[in-house]
Amino acid sequence: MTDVLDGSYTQSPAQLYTHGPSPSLQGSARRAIARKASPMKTSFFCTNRYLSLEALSHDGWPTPPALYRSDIGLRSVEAALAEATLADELGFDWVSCSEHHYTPLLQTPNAALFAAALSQVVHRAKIAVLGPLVSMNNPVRIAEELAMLDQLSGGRLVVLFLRGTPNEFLAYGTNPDETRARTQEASVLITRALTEPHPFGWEGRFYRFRTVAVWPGPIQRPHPPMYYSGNSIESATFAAANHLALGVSFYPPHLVAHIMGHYKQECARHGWEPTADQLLYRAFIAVGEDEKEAAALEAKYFGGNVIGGLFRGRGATVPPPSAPPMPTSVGTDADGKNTGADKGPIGFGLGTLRFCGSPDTVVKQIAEFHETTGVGVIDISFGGAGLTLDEAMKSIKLFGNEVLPRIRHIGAAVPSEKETSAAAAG
Amino acid sequence: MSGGTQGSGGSSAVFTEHFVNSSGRQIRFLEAGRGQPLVVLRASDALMPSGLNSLLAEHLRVIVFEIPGTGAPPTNGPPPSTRELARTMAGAAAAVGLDRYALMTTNASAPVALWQAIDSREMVEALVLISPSGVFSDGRPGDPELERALSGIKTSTLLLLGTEDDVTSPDAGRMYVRSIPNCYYVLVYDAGHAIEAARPDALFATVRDFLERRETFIVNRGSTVINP
Repeated sequence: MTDVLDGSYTQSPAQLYTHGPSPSLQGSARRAIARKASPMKTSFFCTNRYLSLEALSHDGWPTPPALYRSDIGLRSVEAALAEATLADELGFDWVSCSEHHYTPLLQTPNAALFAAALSQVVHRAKIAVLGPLVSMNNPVRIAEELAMLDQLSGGRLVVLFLRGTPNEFLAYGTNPDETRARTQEASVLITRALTEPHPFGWEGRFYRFRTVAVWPGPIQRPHPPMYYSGNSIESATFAAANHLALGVSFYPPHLVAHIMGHYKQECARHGWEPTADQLLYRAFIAVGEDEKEAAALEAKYFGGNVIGGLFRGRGATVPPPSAPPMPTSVGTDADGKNTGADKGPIGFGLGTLRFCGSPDTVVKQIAEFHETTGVGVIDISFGGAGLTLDEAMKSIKLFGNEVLPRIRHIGAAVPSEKETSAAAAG
Repeated sequence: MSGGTQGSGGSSAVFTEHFVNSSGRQIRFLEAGRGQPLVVLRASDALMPSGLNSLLAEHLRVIVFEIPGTGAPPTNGPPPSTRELARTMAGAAAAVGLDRYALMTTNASAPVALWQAIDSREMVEALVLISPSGVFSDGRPGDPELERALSGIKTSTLLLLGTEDDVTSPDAGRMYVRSIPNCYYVLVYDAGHAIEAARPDALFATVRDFLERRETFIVNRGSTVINP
């Protein structure tokens, strides 16, 4: 069974909390209670990082392909699939991947391809493509891939439309000045491509297709849950207007809360209300047996600012836009503007280990983050460039066994007797 | 006959006003351009040459007919049915000397054009509907008889709808597509009901391509060579 976007659950809401409403409650009553009860979902971000610090430590983007060794590459992807399988067994709600180019940090230039592999080893959790870089790719092709993924996964696909980071616009020769508008148009086109029942043409600003008729169609109707990358107020506004859920990555809690607050206001202006599981946050995480172990992981987690290397070398050469885009007031725009606002060491909020500590500490951090931001899905990466595979796997297991069971209830409201009675009557 | 009216949309076309008789009514029309004929049906409050018509007049012979019912001349009398209006417009086109022509319309004039394409199918060789309304009940009165007759349209039809159209819903757009056998359905991104106001270049490019190449407009013939 699949969760629907409006927060109602086809599984019994009584399964969601200890003292739930009676399973005998019918449809709308159950949905009314379920809408208030949106327990925290956890997504394992499967990065397929290349298991060699030599390549990871190359300063600047792109990393020369000469540093790639086949045996390490094979070991890396086997490890990534093992991590994903483990996450599934531990009870993560989603296993995710993301498109990135020309770097050993995330060896997933084709997120759909990797997600297809995940769909065959992850048997229970949703397959979350968070996401394709829609500013740089053929939107109709993306729609076709998403439909195939939903089919291959048996209707478990979740997708988030990403714009990309400045260095990556160089990968396919995309004009950085145009990427925001391209992302918006592509997102609308992909949605229509997955839902229009008849062949249609598209006359956009950046895309023209005279015949679009996607086969197969998605399993989930009208389409899989769709999120939009919202690391700016402008993007959050667009997402709200187009009835897309929202994902924010790496920013500190106060910025996330600011964006989510704006997003909810805009949603209300457009006549709808997002549920908590339509508010997603991506972060880095490390869990140690105790604070001392966690601190040791934190000290080496980013492997000496490997992530910062993405924005050096050719990655630093995204030129100032010829026609400056509307300045963003929050965080670091994908054009590289306003890098100070998010307080991250690199920009975009990158380089900060958002959740780190013993299991007790991480539970508290996640609860506080939810309290501040209202986020209902956390998409977490355990694979810092400086960690060994064993260290990452241990961190994943600690999280799965000692944190995950204790955070599921976060955001799940237990209805009062009065509410249960009112819903049953009504 | 009045003097010419300069076209809009940056076009150099000059439209001249004329009158012709059909079905006992005097029909006003504007004409510009040379070449393949395009008949455009407009309500009288929209009879000034639009940017789209002006640009098309640089490539085609554009004849913009005023659908009688409002406006000059005052002798038009009580309003006929939509189907009768369509016969009147077909008669006007014939009176101007047109044997075969492409037919284009927008918005609430769509039912007249659709009946004309059904009843005068030997004359209408292509049909363009821009933001059509008035056929399917879409919060407003529809036309069930016309709905049933749409399958009788054999001519190639281009239907354009803005993605932000809040008058003709996506569901209504799909019903046109389902009902008209040879219908090419094009969504114009980031345009509301008034596509021409929001995306004039996109509208002109698509309509012109369809009128010049008909069904083969779906084939990309634009060069993608960067450096030969």
